[in-house]
Amino acid sequence: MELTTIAKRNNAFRKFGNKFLRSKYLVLMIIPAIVFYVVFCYVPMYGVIMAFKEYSPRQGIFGSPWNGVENFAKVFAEPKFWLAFRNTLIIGSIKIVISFLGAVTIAILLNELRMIKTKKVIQTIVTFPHFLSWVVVSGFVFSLFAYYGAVNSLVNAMGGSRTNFLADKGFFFGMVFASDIWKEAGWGSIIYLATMAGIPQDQYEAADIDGATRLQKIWHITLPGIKPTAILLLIMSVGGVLSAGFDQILNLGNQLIREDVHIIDTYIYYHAVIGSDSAGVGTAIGLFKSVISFTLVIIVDRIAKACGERGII
Amino acid sequence: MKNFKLLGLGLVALASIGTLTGCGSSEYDSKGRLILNLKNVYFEQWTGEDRYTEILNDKFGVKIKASGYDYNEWDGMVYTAVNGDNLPDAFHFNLKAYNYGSTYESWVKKQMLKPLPKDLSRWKNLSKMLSNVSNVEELKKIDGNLYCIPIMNDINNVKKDFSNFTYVYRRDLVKAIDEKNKNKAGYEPLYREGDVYTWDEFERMVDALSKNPIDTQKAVIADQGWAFPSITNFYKDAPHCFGKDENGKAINNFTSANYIEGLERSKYYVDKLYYSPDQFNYTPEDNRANESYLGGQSVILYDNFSLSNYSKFRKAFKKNQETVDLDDGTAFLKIKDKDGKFALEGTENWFSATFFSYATSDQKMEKILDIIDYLLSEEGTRFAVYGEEGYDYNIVDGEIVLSSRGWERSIDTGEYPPKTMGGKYLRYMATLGNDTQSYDPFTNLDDYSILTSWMNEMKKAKEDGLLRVVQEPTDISWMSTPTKNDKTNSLLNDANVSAAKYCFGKSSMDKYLNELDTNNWKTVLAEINEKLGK
Amino acid sequence: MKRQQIDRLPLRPRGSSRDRKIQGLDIIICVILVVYAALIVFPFWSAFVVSISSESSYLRSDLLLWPTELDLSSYHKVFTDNQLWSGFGITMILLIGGTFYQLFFTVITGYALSRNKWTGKNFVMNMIIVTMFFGGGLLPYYHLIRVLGMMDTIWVMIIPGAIDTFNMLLMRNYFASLPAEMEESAKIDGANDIIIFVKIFLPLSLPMLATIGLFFAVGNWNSWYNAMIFIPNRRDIWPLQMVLKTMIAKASSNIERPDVQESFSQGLTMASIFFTIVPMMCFYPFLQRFFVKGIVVGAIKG
Repeated sequence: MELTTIAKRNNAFRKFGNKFLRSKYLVLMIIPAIVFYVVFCYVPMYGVIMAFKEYSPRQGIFGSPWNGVENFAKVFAEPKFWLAFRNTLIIGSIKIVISFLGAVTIAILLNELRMIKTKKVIQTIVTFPHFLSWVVVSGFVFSLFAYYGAVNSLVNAMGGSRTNFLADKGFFFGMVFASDIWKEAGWGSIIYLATMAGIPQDQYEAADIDGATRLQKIWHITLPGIKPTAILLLIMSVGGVLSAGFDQILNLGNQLIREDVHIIDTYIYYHAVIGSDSAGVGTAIGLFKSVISFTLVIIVDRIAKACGERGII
Repeated sequence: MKNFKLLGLGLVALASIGTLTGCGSSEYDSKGRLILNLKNVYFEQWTGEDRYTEILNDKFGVKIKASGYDYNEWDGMVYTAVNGDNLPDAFHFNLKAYNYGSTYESWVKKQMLKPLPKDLSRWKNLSKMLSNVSNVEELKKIDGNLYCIPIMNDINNVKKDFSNFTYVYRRDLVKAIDEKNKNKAGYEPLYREGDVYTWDEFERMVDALSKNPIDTQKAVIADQGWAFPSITNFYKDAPHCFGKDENGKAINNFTSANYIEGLERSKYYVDKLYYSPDQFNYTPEDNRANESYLGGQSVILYDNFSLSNYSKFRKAFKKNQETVDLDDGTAFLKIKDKDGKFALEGTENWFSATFFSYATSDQKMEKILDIIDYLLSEEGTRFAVYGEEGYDYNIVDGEIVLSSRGWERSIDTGEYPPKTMGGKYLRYMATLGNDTQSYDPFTNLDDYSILTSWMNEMKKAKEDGLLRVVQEPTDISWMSTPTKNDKTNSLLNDANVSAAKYCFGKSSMDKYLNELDTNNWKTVLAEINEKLGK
Repeated sequence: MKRQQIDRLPLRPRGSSRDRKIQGLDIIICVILVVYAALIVFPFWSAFVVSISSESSYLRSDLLLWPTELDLSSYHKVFTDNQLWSGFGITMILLIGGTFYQLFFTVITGYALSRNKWTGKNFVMNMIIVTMFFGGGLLPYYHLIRVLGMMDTIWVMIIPGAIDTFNMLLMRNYFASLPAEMEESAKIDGANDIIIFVKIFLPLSLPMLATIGLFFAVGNWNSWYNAMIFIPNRRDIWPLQMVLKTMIAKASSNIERPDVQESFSQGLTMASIFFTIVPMMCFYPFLQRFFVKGIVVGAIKG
């Protein structure tokens, strides 16, 4: 009995050693990554203990006194936090869907466009809003939709009456989504275009021989071809659902609706970065956010795997 | 094994990169001069590299390293530096009564700051200045030490306790309407001599301006984002959250009868489209109200007209409205309320403060105080304003004569081209320099004289009892209670939002009053009244 | 897809159809895309018009469609900023050095994680995934940067960016989706992992490399946040975007500032946007060609 166990173990060690040696170059390639993640991600992680502390800079993160779950209690007792939480979930999840649909649609349209010159020009154009900051985009939104803005002037010229779009909460949410598509969909399509470029051409040729229409080819070849990338991106964007766009919300908002449209990140900014809440409270909210995001990703990843897709974990 | 060696090698490489590039944060520069790291919002334009700074460096045996803050990121950057325990020797923060408890007091308690020496007699000019700072005793009340140098607006004019938040208007348009209608029987002119209006006269004028728009005009009044609704400022009993009733009990300023009256009037103005329906979209950070006035889209503007702002505003107006007489286009408008008084928001005679990091050595602090004290002296002030004696200016028979070497007007504009002078910037660590404006070669004297005459008028009105300075009761302002420290800022923001919502018809009076009667309000008021003993 | 098959593929424009004739569907697609592009061009156009207009013509109108008063002073101001070129130099260092540095580490990590056979892969993978969600926040990171001595050095804008997890996972997925047979046949020929990676996988990954390289380049070109937080005291090593940001902030902030300087902040903002975008506009079309299938196939063939 014992002998066989030892033999087995030796065997296992040898196997391990062999495997290790065989893949030594791969291990070599991963070492910088391990060093990197340990130094820049894992070392600073001790900072989460701030969520349970009354932080004081002189005493440092380790030296500051513990205060249990006081930071959490403070946040959770605040109705505004829950409003921000709800807004974040709504905005974040709708954004995931529309930005995905937007990017894929544009990628397919561009992929299908056969006028090469036009395609190049359009592809260049649609990626550029990505470079604008939200301050500037919100300036555009304002000059278009303000009471005396371009849209209202047009409506007025055609005999309609002016509407105060920007004072309306519903319009604000619509604006958040529309401007998000406008700004990011073209940029997001790049990754899908690159993936489409990797779909083997012979699949299309085979389909041509079978007499498939273009829509059929899109449905049966292009879309399945980008599926792994799409699922990867979707899983990762689910992790970002609680980061619903800090800069965007901050800049598109105005006095009348700002308080109703807070998201978690703007809440942290107003309360714990420039507000009077301590750094510990900010860390507590951050930790709460991380735990929820991580749970969501695990769930979505499991679902993807159950559906026979490659997950990320 | 090989892999472990590589891992080790990687770590060593990483560590060596770290040490190789770690900037030498030594105390002295290569010439053996003490390095002073200074940060101030006003240092934005100045990098600490000019001959004037070099003169000061040599004079005091130091090497000044200065850098600015981006104004929009100021708070965040100071908080990061404090929390990251990486403060420069002296830094600048916007200390206000409403963040006194949450920042100043908490920094002191967390021992992040170094107090000024108890005995300041070595720095005569500085201690003289500090003795004139309003409410300086409030800043000392934690343990008797002063932990900052409040930056005085004007070291010579210490009594001015009202702000320059007020209206300017297009007098030319009002006069033009009068001119057009002067032959109509029984027409009462809109324009009032001295630009002084009662509420009724003001309203009649506003109405006339809205009915006789110029071609670019969209609205009559524009408020800077932070000031809306500006009309309430003439009704308020206190500028911020808290006022006192006749029994001395703290009350919510936003629900006082006077405030509500002002709020109703504001709503009426919004409803009548005297305000642009876009007014709510002017955020506190941007300058849109200002732009709308400059573009002729509105004709009355509420803003903070300090000399620098007013001067900038007039320059821009001249550029953008070339056909309008400059003085008529940028005239101050004065409103007398129902008691026949003017009303202006009260301020301290200082704005923001310079703090010292706990890690600053005594020697460094003394050097910094030496420099500030010198720049506040007569000689130092000349150095800050004119430059080096003998190079930039000479004193001939007791008069300052600028040299052509240091000061040469531009041929196009007739003004002096911009010039960074270390002394001038360093002086901003203790005073905003309003005391030197009258003789600073960079000051536009027209702007200066108009603003000064307005200020003198207000000062006189105050002496005659005709100016209501809207002040928060000092004992409440600088009071520190747990909930007040935490919440005042957000209560103030929320209250302003509620007021804006009410004016734009997004809530009812009931809802407004409800929003201003939350648990936070109740707790804060209860805490304050307990401390006041009411 | 086998090697021989790749070799057989003819060079051809991408798209799912080999028909040369333009169909109705093409027209519809074209119209949709042109309308969408127009919606994007319009604000850019109006921004451009603002950047070349005088302040007064901007202030007088609600929306400028055409420059009524031409005024290039905004560009003049951007180009004469005395810090602009030093910022530009720093950004070029980040753009070239930083991008290749990031690309190198991200791609090798992605490749190693895409191969299935080494021990501890799952552990490393999970360890990396966790960092996407959990971090210590800014303060401990700030302390770390101080301890590493990178505060106020140019390294803080390069070294901590070595691997971008998101792009690394994209790269890994892409490698994993490439057929494994090629690797096996090369293994039989005696090639080791590094040779396989360089000789077989890299050439096949050009579209993805171009994409991720583009993401990094854009990130480096636009970066300012690290400079703001970690290089507070040394303007001489601020990157371009930080310089521009400060320039705009100076022109637009309405702090009561003692030194009076009046300027057209909107014009300056828009001019600096074009200053930022134009180099990208010149650079992007070159990368774009990697997304075109035919050329990728051709590259492998050659």
